[in-house]
Amino acid sequence: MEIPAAILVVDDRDSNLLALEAILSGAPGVNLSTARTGKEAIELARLQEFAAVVLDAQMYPLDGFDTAERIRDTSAARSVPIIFLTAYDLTPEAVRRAYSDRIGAVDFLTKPVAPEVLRAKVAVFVELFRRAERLKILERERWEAEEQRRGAERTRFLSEATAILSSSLDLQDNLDFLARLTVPRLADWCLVEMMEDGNKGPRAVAHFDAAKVPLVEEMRRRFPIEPGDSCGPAQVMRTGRPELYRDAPRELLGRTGADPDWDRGMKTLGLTSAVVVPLLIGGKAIGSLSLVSGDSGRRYGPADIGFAEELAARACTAIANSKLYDAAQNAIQRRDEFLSLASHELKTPLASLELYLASARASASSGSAERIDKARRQVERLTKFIDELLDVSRVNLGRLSFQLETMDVCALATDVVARFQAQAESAGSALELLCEGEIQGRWDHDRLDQALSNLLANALKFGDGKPVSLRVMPIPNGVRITVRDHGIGIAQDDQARIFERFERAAPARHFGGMGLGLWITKHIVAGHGGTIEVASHPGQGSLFTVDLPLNPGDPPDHGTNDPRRR
Amino acid sequence: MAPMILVVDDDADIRDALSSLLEELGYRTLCAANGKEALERLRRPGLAPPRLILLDLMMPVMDGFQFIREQRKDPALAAIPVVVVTAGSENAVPGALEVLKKPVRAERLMASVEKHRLAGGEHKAP
Repeated sequence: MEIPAAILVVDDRDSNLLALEAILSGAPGVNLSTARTGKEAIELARLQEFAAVVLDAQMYPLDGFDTAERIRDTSAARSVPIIFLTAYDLTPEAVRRAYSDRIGAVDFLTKPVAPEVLRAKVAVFVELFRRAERLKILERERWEAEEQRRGAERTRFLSEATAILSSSLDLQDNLDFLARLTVPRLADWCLVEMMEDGNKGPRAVAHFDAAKVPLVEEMRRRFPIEPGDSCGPAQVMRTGRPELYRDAPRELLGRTGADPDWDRGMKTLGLTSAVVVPLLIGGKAIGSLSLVSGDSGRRYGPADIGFAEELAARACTAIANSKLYDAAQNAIQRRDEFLSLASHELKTPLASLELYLASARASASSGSAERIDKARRQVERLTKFIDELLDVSRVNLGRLSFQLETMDVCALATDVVARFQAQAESAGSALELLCEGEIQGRWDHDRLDQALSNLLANALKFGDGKPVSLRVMPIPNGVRITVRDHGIGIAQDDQARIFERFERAAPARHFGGMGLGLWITKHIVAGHGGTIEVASHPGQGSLFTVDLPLNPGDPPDHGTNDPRRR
Repeated sequence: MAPMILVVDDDADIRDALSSLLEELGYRTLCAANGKEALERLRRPGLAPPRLILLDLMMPVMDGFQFIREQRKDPALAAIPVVVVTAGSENAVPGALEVLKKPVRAERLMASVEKHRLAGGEHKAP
């Protein structure tokens, strides 16, 4: 498609104008505008860019030359080619004047003008105009492509930056990564400062020339920023607004007063231009990022502020996460300390109680001795309950920890069953263990003991004096432990409640009649990577099935692994 | 002479309760409220060493761990057997022959005392 071009034809005689129109119209893609006076011509030239102007040299009141001069004054027509049509020969001086810059004629044609000649000459300028336009279009397209490329590159840089910044939950890491990300793409060197540090010095520093990093730190320590500084990081942290220093002022970065060391230091580091943006969390400035250009000679502009702010924003997200993580860890630690303290405080008087009761028993009559033993049994119940409370608290905090060791689960089962024989007898239930040989695996001995004990205790409690059996058998890659009783069984509704999908959120009170023991048992089994199920009918007893892997891998052990470095 | 046992615990009631029980069962007891006091009592001139030390872990001034370290450095004291009695969660303590958890059943405690205490003239290796 032909780029449209416009031609302006100016003559104060209608007949001439018509003739010229006739000659010049018809060229494809060319629009013809006409003017009968210089004034009209100037107006039209102001409104539109013409490929060429065909101008009658002799006009009244404004003649052709003056018209041309005025046309040149309008910015749209500053360099428009002007072809003069003249009725008579002009003096050489007139011609020279016409060709001068102020009038800028490109040709003189004597009237009457040969149509082909005029058409040919106009066509040349139309073609020139079109070429210029095509170049402009190409230039614009190239610039847009460049902008798009720059935009894509910027986006890619920012998403890589985000990945790097969020790869650690350690605050110092976040700040170090931020500083290093800016060099050299955004700056020759940079400083990251935190509000809470006061005058302590920058939290993170990066320099194009890594050897100069100590110098940056030293300069900052010797010339600290003051809260009242009129510019630089202190000001930015105070106002929460970014600052652009196209030509970095000497007062930047904490200098006060004349000091030859400052000059020398800055000369070494390079101080040409700078951008300082705040680090904002929740709209409040918690620090600042100073980007400085030195030897590269780069001069920052407004576009750089936006980019720096974007990078700062992403860093702040990572920083906020790190601070939250720290706060959570502190809270957990305080809670842990409280639990340990509570446990200690509860168990100490219970210990004395048991010992006093035992020593009283030594010289007690048989009747008193029996009662004293019952009292000591209460101490046991209290102790067990305290342990369960602490376990529940730890589970709720996700801090149930396991100490794995290679052990034989059959040996453990034997011990547990032996311990429960007395209780089984008094419940009237025959207690049987079915376990062949040895089954070795890696489990937490005490926790597994706890789980089996809980299951046996429940079986005896609800066993209605009927036999209870504990079986241990190998299964592929694991071991299966079942506890069977023939007692009162568990109602369907209760079964469903016990065995909803493993969720830390399942509240302990759902296990009402079963006590906390079963809930803890479930978490112990899950913590080993195992499963527990029940099959039961009211009046027909229950069968609990626990499947454990031989090697649970590493069960959730929130106490020892530092998840900060992912 | 009845065998003597050193009871080290910062809780006065624990010291008293342990002493009551041990004395009821025919032992003599000596008490200390922390590791430092325990070392002082042990080093008192003219004192025959106890047959066993019942040791708490969490104590001010000098805790159980520190006491054991000092005890092992001293050849006069290193051979005295130590049984830890603690409300904490430790299952094993270097330098201690056994770790009992508070509140410990009296029978369990006495079984441990009988098992580990030095008979007259005997020295168990630490």
